[in-house]
Amino acid sequence: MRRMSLLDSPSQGSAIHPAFIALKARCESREIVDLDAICIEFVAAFKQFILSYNKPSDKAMSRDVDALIKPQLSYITGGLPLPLAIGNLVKQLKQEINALSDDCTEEKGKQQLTDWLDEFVENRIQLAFQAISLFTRDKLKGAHVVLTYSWCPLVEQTLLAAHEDGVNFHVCVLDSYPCQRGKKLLNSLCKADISCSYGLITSVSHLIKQCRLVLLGCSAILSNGYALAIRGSSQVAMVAQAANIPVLLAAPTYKFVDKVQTFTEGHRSSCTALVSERMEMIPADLITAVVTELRILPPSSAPAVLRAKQLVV
Amino acid sequence: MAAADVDAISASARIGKIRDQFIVDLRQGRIRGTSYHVAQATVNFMRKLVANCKYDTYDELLTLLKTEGRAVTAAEPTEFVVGNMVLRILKLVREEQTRLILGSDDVALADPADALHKLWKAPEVAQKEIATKQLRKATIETINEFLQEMENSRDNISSQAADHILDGDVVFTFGQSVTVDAFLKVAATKRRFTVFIGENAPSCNGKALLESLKSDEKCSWAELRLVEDTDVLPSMPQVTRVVVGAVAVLADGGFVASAGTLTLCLAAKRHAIPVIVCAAFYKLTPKFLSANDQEQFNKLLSPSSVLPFSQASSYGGADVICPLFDYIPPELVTLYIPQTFGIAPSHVYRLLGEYFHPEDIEHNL
Repeated sequence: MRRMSLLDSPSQGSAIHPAFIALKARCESREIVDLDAICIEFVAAFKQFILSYNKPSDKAMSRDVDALIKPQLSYITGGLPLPLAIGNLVKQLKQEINALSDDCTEEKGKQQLTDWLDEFVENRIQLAFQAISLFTRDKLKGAHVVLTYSWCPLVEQTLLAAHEDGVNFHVCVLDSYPCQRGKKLLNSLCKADISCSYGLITSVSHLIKQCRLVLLGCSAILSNGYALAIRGSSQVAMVAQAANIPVLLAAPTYKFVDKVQTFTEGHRSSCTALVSERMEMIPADLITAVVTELRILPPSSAPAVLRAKQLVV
Repeated sequence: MAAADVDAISASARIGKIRDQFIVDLRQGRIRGTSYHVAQATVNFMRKLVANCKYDTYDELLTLLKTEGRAVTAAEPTEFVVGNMVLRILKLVREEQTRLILGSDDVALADPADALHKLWKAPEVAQKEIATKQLRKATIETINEFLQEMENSRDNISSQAADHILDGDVVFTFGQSVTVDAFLKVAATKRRFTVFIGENAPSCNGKALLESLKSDEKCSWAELRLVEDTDVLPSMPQVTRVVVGAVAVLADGGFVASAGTLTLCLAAKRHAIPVIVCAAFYKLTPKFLSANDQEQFNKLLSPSSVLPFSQASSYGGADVICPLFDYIPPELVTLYIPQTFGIAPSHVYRLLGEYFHPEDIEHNL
């Protein structure tokens, strides 16, 4: 219903591609909430957009596509900034588009761009997830009891994969009102017969004593080593640090952003279509290490990752 | 002979009845609400023993109070206030006895435990006999005085409020504490400041404190803001003071308070913000605990407020927990405010020496 009404809306004009309209509707209805899923859907929408593109004979593809992208993006975000990781993706995609030679044919250009997008999802998300799962599994082996906060699909996948590989551990899931998103993680862990504890974020000091490792998700790592994560993560990391428990952040390199920030924006930072939860900064000194698909790194190595992945602007 | 036996039986039955009634009240939560009420009920129970039970000498009275006190302390071991009050009454009875014998107020002189350097001139106090009637009357009077002191303690704490809160301060507190409520209200009659209140899920009693502060017409607040439990650390840069209540102040200078307070105190430490703990003397607990002694100080509430039972089938094997308390180590505390004047956590042990008799503490630990 919602999708239809958005399609009919005359104010949006016909310039917006239906794939983007559908994506925004699904994000707004919170059908997809996690950044990784949104990123994959975003790439899929972009692919559809590029495939249905018709190159006018008098324009070069690179400049024409570049100009067409802008309204699509501002429609999706409603004028607000994109989530950092997706902004990163868009930046790289634009580089790809600009790299198209002027005499590039429509077919060749489309092929090149969709290949790049496919490769992005495969290498930077899917394979990266697997690599991170493997790195984390070794850490879980010695940990026995691991604590996590709220729900992050990468953390969920990692825990399930490690359990499947025969690693034995107990998971403490912390959660917060009002969303209680951690219930989703708890449900899938229970289904897989992993032994779990569950409590609200105020129980952190009660649970942290039995834990040997804290594993958190995040939605971006900045070049000063600070991490953007769901509200409450920094507190959990702080209590863990006070109890001498290492804090690992699972972050594929596509979430590394060449940007610095040292504070959490106040109550103004609200949710947008693509950001369903309020976010905060985790200071770098509360993070023991970041698990990326390259290796396990200290947060201070964020600039090196940016360089290695050519994400520096 | 037979009559004396019957007497003894009926006396012990009477004691048993008083004790059982108190324990049942305590367990069934009939003693409502705050630690103050629990403390008051315990002192009343001890007073009943002094008033109604049979004893001939001071030693008999002390033994009676010790045995019964130990029984009620053991009945509810995590309710520290009960044990504290038992110890406090024992100390008062000891003091009263020396006062009766010496006929002077120089109690410190009489009790060698109070002043080590006076040990050599400690008088022989135990030899003089006191009439039971006199002992009973004097002890009850002391206990009544003590109850009065307890009643005034909250006022005495809040009267110091304006010394610790300044105009333009941003005070962060967590959950609801009656003592903090009174403290902030008194401060607000003299100062204009902002209060951040940690919500404290699942009970969300921070909301209750917010309503209580808002409804007081005598106070004018710069701002009252409810802070979600996830936002404690991110909002700390705006805060200038942390004021919290305690359930128990421990011998090492640490304290026990609502779950979530540790996070607040760690955040305050991280931002070098002073942490002020308002706690009346009846919360002073002569025990050494750490975060590892969870079962000794913590209570686990029903998990239904965290995950409703109706959803239990989706989370089959999960162990859902809802702890009530946190232990906060002394290094995170700047100042305690009991009813007299503020003290540093490193000074708490001195107060313990003043309030309790070392011999009783030894048995208690």
